[in-house]
Amino acid sequence: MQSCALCTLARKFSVNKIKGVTLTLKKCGTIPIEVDGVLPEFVLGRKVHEICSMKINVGKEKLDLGDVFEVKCDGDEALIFEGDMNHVKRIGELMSSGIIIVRGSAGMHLGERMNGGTIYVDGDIGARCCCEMRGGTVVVNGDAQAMLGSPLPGNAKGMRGGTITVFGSVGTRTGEGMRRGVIAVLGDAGDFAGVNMIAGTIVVFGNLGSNAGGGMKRGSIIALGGVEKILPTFLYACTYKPTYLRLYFNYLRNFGFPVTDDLFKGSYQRYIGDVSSLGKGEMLILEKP
Amino acid sequence: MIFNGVEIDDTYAEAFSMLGSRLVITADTLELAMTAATSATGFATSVIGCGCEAGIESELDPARTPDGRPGVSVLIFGVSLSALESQLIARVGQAIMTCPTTACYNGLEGEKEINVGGKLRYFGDSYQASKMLDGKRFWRIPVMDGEFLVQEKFGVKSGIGGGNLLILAKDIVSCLEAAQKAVKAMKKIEGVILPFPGGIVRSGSKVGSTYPFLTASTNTPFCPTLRRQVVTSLPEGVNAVYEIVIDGLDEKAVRDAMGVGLVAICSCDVISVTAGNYGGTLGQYKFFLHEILKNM
Repeated sequence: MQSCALCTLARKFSVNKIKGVTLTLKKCGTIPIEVDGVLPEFVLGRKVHEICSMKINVGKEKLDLGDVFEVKCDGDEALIFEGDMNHVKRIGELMSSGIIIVRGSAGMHLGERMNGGTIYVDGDIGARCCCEMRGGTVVVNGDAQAMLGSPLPGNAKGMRGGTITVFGSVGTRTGEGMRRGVIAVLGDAGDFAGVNMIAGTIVVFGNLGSNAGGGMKRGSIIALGGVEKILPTFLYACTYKPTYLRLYFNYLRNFGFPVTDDLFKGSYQRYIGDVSSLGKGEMLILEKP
Repeated sequence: MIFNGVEIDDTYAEAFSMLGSRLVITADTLELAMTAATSATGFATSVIGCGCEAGIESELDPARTPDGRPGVSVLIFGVSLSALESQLIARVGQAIMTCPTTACYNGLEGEKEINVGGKLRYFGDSYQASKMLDGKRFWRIPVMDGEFLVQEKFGVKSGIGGGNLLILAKDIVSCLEAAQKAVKAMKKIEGVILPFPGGIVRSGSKVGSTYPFLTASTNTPFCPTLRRQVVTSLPEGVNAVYEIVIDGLDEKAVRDAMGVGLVAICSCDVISVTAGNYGGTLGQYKFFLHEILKNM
């Protein structure tokens, strides 16, 4: 699984050689650290002492970034996070350009409301990542927890653009309220993927959990590795070969997804739904030969 | 100038600015893609009579098409953005969407864009669906064998219409042989089309007519049957003339096509080659035959 994402990274940026500003976590702990505002557009090109003096939230306190991270500058290609980042939240929040690389796992709210640029995570990501994302690309070389690309609490619309590729599995409610964009998952997807979806596309190479697409108006959920349970409000329409899927497969192949001929040329069962909502969405299930 | 025993007239082809678009048509088989392409480029020989000039540019391997199926590339030229848009909508809607298993994509990053899929989508009667991928929008229109997939916007680029060669020979057989050989060579050049039937024109035209209601009429100086009735452009011994008209996406493509065409013609039994112009007063582009041959 890892090799796919790493191939992509290597092909695009030669990640191990990429030079930029590296933030290494000085001490691992359980107190949440929030790095919103620490973005390539604000960090790259600045001097070390300027970066060190940026303010970040650590628990209830506001500290200098230099107190929490060791800062090293050896280029301006990317912003690199190193260390155990499980408790580092809001990496790439509101990001609009540039590259962020996380060497390890990342905490909650990564890529929240980002509208451009690229985030590579060479590990897992926490819950509620990429909420209301508007553009850009997120590549996760591990698993993602619940509510990937979902709306923020109190809102109806989730992801509104961009591409999320996960080379592991994803938790529940992935793509909830999704409005536009692509979420591709190489592993399995938890229950309630694409609930209340308005548009957009979710592609799951592994097993698709129960009750996917509940309440969806439009949009597509593509199940390539079987479905746990289809809601009764999804109705079988036909079996056919959707031409547009070929465009998605070509697109995902460039990210390193293993698109076989069976997927590319295969037949798909089309279920339309959710008929308890607008009913113009679809679930396409690969027919096994 | 004599090239390979053939006299090349010291003149130029006068060509005009046009707007061009490229369609990439795919289908389950190359035959079906070609059927759609042939149909979509039918009755598109001249902007004056047909509203646009269109032709098949090339066949495309599955590796060169967006959906990995066999495809055909088509170029369509028009005189204005609105004229081109209405032609594209009509031709994609009537000739490509109707053909089994086809899809139609934009094949040109142009200076401007026209909306084709975005207007054809209404055929879907509210059941059409759009997909936005990598910054491009596609429309899925439900049809009786599944879905017709069409890109929303098609790029438009300034192109050139009316590059031409006139082949003068002793009879139809030798003239046609030279024309067909030239067409075969010219079709290999990317970015050009030869919009007339088989790439060859028998009824070349001149501007104006003895009839006030007609803007163009038969090219009398090149009609062998009128040799003693009008001022002729035909040397003695010429009994047949064919014209090859070339439209291209840029000057280089037209020049290259004319070059390989000239060389092919000069390998045949023809008397001379010339080109049509209006004294340089109408067209923005001049393609001098001697210069083209010297650069080959």
